[in-house]
Amino acid sequence: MAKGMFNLTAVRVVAPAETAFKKLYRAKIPFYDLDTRRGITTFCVTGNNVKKVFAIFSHPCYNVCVVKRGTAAVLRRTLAARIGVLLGALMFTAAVCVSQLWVFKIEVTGSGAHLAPQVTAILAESGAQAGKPLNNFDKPLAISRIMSLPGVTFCSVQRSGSRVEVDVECGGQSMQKPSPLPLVSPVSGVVQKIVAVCGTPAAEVGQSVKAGQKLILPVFTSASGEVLSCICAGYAHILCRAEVVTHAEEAGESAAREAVAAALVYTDEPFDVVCSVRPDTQGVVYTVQFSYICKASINLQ
Amino acid sequence: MELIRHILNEMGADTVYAFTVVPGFGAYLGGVSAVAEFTPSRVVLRAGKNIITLTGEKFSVGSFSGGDMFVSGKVAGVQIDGEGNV
Repeated sequence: MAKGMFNLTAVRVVAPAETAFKKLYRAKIPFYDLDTRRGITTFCVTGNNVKKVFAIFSHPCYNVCVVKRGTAAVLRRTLAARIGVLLGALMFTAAVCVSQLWVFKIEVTGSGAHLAPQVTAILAESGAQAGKPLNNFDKPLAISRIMSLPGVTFCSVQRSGSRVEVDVECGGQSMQKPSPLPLVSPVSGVVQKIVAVCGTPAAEVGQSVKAGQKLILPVFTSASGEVLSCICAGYAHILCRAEVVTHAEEAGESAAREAVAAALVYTDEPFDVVCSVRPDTQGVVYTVQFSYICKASINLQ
Repeated sequence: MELIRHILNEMGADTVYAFTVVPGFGAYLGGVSAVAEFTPSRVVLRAGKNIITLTGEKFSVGSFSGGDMFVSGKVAGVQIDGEGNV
């Protein structure tokens, strides 16, 4: 068959080559690979000329037969004969493709299965929510956030069709039941750092907060914008200013050292320490003003 | 091939009935209007007023379209006769 011509149909006619040539020439039918043996001529024509070939030879039912149909014709006839199977295969493929993009179930297994609410919330924030299509699911981010949950030592997120399987393993120590409350600031000060592993931050770095003010809320916003409740986990650093007042019988280096040491009740690392002394009826009063970082966390070890 | 066709046209030759023989491969002929004989060892055809006879081995028509014919096979000899009846 002529190279590059995949749509050629091989036709065999009971006629000498000269006759076949004459009829094809008069009908202006291009042909290829004409060969003759013992009065039978075989040649190839394009698919749209097959009917013309049958028309120009006498007694076509006896003298003309198609030896081999062109690839395109065979493909077309095959597809037409099996249109149902083809449609079924296409629908099945489409269903498989759609199901691959959809999450129907999230399973949290392992010793950290009790963290399922947090894990589910983290996955939803990362773009994988049960009953909804995957929305730019960031698997590494989800794993890193799950690993930040209290006691988690191993995490694996696998997709199995339309299921998301999360294996969460915790350390050997007994785990406390996670608190469902929000993280509140224990002191008044300025937020220096806030990290919400799970939940929504309610304050920003540099913002002044008062004691009791909520820092991390136990809710999250899913990728679709829906606000859902969860158990929050995270921590915050708050810069505070405090002072301690101590009495001493008389001023001295030892009394000053004891006054500064009183600040250690609040923190191990006071800074910007300012110490002043004034006389009192019973001796002297030391006033120590200092700054410290208050670290508050919830559901974290 | 286009160059020699161009040169022949410039010189006034009628290239409609020109043909090219590639030894061991086949022959390309233009202006073919009839085939008088076709066997694996001998092809006699008409191109314009000429009768062209190809002799050789394993002849078959590679393609034919609009008077241009490619005969594949080993061409051993070509004979051109003047005006004749086919």
